[in-house]
Amino acid sequence: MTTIDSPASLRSAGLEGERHRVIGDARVLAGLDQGRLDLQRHLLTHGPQPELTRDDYVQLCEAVGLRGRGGAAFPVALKLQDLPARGVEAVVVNGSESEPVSRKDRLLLTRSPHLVLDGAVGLAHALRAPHVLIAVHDPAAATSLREALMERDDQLAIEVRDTPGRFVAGEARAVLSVLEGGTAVPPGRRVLPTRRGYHRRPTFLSNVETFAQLAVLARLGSRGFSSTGLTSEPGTQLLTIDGAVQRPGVIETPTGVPLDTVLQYAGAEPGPVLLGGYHGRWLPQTDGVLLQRPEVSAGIILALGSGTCPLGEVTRVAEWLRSQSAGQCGPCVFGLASLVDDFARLTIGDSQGWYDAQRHLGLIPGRGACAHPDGAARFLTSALEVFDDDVRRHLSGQGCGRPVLGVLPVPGGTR
Amino acid sequence: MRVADGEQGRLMTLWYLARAAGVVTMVMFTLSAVLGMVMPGVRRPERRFWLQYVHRSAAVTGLVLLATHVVAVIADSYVDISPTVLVWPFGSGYRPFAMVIGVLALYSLVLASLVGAARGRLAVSQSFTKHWRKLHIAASVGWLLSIGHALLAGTDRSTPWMLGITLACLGAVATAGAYRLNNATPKTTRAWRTQ
Amino acid sequence: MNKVEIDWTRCDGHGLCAGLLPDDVVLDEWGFPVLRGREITAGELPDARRAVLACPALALRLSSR
Repeated sequence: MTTIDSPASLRSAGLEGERHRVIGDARVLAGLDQGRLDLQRHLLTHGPQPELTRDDYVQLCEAVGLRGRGGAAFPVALKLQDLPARGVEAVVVNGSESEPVSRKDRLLLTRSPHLVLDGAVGLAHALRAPHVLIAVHDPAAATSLREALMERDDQLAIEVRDTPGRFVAGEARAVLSVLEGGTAVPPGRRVLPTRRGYHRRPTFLSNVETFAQLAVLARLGSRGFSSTGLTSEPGTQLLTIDGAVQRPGVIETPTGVPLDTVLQYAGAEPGPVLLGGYHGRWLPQTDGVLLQRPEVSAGIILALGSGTCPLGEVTRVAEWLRSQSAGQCGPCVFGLASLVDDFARLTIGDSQGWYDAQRHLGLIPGRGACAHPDGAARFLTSALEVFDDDVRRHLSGQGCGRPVLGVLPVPGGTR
Repeated sequence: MRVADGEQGRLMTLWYLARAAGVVTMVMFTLSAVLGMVMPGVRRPERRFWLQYVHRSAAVTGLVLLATHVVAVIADSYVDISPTVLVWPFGSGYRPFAMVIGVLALYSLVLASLVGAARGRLAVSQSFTKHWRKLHIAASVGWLLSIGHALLAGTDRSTPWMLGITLACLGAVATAGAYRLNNATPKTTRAWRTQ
Repeated sequence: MNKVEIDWTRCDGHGLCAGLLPDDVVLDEWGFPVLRGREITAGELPDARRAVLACPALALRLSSR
């Protein structure tokens, strides 16, 4: 097995190469055909942000069942209702986008920063929060935001801060820790940011896309917002598609669009599909799968194609997941290291590797400060299930006869 | 004459008790400190558990003897030390500087013991767990003051056996400290540092 | 309603908890505790308190809810 640099890993973060497409109505990606929306073009495209009260926001979010777009898909209305009536300290926009494949938040921040700012500032005014903090990792996104802020006067303390680009550093509480001047690791106790967030004060934190959707929702109202998508969770969603596809990039679609439609649209090779990124699941089949939360998580779709060795690909990602642990919690540090070893042994036909992997996969979920071990276990467990035939072929000692092409992008490669 | 002799004897008993309690207090807290410093190098659970047990027992015994020492010294009429010395150690009639050192040592040892005892109860508080070790060690540094107190105030300070005990205590803690610094076992998992 | 909880960022796998609470905590192959997730009964409470007190890393805590 050899690892070949694929187009997928060479494409990497190039801003100019950031492609986007739309199936159905363009909402959060509206007006981007001619490039970045400055304030003037933003206002021409979207119109001004209406001033709404906190109750308006709660009602709107409840009516359209808006869910957070960072992966956990928590209902936004519940998050708002959990905040105390007074003393909300900050609205935090999590733009760290630490999923290596995801491009949607970067796209929004570099091309339509005012829409995200409208959503965050509008909500901050409604909540009477004195601070808006935007955590970003991408330098182009930070520049775009700073340029956008010079064009506006929101009468709020708005700050753009850089966060380190490690997977676990994008976790909500790790982001809060960085914003407070600490290290980018999740703290040991699970407390809700709505209760104890920025400087232990009530904080509304969500993903970049959530704020863009909020800005759209405030303008369209619940009825206008619900004119497309599922009845249970209307509106649109941003997806990032990559891997063995002809047209990778970000796609805006109505919620509930069939996965096959998106795969066809992007020109995906037939083969297994990973939904929800490297904390997500491999799908046993794509027929009849509708793209909705919580399954789509942060909207990442990866097509594996049929020319590469699935187990080899998964092992590369496992090694990357291991390297992305914050290194704080024993079960994550030792468990992920053991799993990398188990998968490597399994790939070369050692059946003991399979048994060890099964045991270790049962051992790590729920035993960490954040959900990294849980997500990694979910990804690897589904791989063993979906690639069952392939696993058998490897265990028979002959291997699958395919090279590891590196279709699944892994930042920085693996050691 | 005989009555007076008995009176004198009882007074002296109190004085001897005060001195003896003082010396053993120092030894007990030394033992506790040494075990506390050696402990992080011990990974075997059973051994660690017993070390904890002896560490705590020594400290509790030390506290009881410390109380005895203080009460006896105050109750004794041989030297003039009033109860107010516990609050305001300055201006004691008997070796004022040594008294100041002694009272400060008492404060810090009591504080170290309280912080240690509060461990289980306050484990629910995140900031307590974060600062516990620093607090406990900082308070324990007061142990040095008790050695100073022994060297300055002790009636037997210049006798060879007392000097021997005091120096042995110092030596034990110094050795344990050196052991701790050289055998610092880092946490098996280390958080990624960004700043 | 008592449960033992672990602060995983503090836990260093010393394993004293498993010795003191064998019915609630077992150790995995790396020496880190696996919680059974059971509630601590009134009878076990003194043992649980002892385990919390014994944890060298102060990673164990009793939560009442």
